[in-house]
Amino acid sequence: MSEILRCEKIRKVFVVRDFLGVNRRNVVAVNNISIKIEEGTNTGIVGESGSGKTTFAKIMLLLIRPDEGSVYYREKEITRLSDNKLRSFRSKVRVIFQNPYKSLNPRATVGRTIREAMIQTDSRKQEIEEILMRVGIPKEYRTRYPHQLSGGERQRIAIARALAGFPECIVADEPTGNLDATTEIHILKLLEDLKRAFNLTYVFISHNLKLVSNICDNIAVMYKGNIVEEGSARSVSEHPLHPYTKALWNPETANVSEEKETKNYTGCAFANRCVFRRDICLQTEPEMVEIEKGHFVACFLYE
Amino acid sequence: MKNFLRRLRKHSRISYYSFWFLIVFYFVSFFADLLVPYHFDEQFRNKPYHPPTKIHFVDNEGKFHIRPFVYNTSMDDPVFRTYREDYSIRYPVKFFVDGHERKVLFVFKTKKYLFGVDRPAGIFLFGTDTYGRDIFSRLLYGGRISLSISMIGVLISFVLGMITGGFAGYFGGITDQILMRMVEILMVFPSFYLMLSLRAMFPLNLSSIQVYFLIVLILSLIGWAGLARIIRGMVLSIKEEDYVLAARSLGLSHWKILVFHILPNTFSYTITAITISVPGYIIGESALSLLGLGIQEPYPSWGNILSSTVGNLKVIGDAPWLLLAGAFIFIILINFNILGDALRNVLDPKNW
Repeated sequence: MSEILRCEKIRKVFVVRDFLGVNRRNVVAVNNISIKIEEGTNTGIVGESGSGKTTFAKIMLLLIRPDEGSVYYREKEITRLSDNKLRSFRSKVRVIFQNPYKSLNPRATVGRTIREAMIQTDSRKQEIEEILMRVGIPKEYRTRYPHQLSGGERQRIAIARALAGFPECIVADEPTGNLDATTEIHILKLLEDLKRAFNLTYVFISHNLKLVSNICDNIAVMYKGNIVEEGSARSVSEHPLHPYTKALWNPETANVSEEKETKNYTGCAFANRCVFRRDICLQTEPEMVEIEKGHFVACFLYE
Repeated sequence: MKNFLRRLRKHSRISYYSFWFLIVFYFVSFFADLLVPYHFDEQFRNKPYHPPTKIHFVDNEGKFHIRPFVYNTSMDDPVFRTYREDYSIRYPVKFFVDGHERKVLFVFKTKKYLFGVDRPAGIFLFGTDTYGRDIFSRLLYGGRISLSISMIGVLISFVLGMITGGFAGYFGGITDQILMRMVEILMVFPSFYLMLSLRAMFPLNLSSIQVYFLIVLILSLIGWAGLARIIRGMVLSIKEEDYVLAARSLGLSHWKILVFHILPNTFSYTITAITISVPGYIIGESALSLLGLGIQEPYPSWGNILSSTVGNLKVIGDAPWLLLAGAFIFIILINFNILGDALRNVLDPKNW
């Protein structure tokens, strides 16, 4: 198994200004994340809203450039390459966005959307129709506009678009986030079929730990721009270690308090919500430690 | 197109009729050569300020005629310019008459027009001006100039606005700064004075064709700035949309993203803005011609037909038909406004 994507020590800070630009506030969206995507596996990145997972996905795709750290594609650093030089990377690593109502150009027909995504721009009608069939869309839809389609159909088109360049890896940012439960099952099944047919590697980004643990091989749990726990899907779901992972796994029973005021201490980002908090949590940031083979956690409970 | 018409009709009947009215009007003025009884510089020197010709069906002996006819007129009172009809000879209105050769759309030669009467009688549907020229003919010919100037002008400023606004909004940073400062410089001048001073940069004794293109150029130079600013704003918001991000993630070039993904999504606004700004061009042309800086006699434009009434209050009382040019401007204006208002909704893909 070789790696497709590797991110090392990614950090991204957004500067938020108020109306007159007088007061600035730094928002750390992604804080020191490293992750490795192996060929043929499914990796899940889980976290609640605002944890920086979408920003991280965009950095992986180099739609946003990180402030610090590097992205490697097949062992080659591509972090600072220009958009022109990234063209082959872009055809190999594709993305599916969360909201199919926003991710399709309302003025382009389905056929145009897909033709554009193909590498050779002179691709014929037949090839477009083939790809549409693959994602379960009748070929007559080629001439339709997105507003004539349902949410599930749109998401299938978005998948077809990602598929059109015959990519190696697809980053799916909550691909079922805006769909109802039955459509969700169909879409996930479709993604699974396509994985087998095209030998794809997926990166799933989701807030739903249960869903991700069902379909992924590896899981990384993100909180406030940090990865707090990482490991194989089985060990993360069978014995979650970090208090935050436990809370995600079982939100009803978890005794985690609502998020309080912003962090005004130096230690662990989760400490102000954590019931197991100790003094050290507020003072230093925990390091990732390996508890079992391949299962890492960043928490002082396990040191 | 068929879809478009159906949607327009569904949106509101009146805008649908406006659309067709404008199309018909454009056709009428472009094919004016075939329709009008007189060429725009054909003069009846003995019939200045002639009121609209009466078209009769019944002669003065009370006999009814199927074919409408006119009487020749002669000037009764040279001071008040009143005319008296001469009942001795009837001049029937003839359809598809022969006359002087004209060129339709500057290409096809024709000798037949839609209607006319034998000389020395004249048929002046809207009266004549101070040289005895038929106002009806001049209005249709003038519409050709006024409407085509507005059409070409609006297209040029549309293209300029799209390019500048698109570039400024999409690339941002220094490009945005430079382009927007340029636009602002253009916008700080009151447009009417800018128009006058631009016109003043060129000599007055230009040929009509040169003046025509000069006016198109001046009007579009003034018009693009506002459009560019608004398009920039729209591009700024559209470029943050997911589908633009998706296009970037496909590795499309900036050019393709801008042309195929961003700019088309400004169309529902820009086409509306264009439609609503067309009247501004007609008025701008009229204003220049009114001041004698635009289209020169004998070529007619709505502006210079109207300008013959300026400073001559007596004309307004004695020959009010000269003001019909204003009525034409008004009608075109109102139709464009109704249409533009409807287009805003009709062109939005969300309403399809």
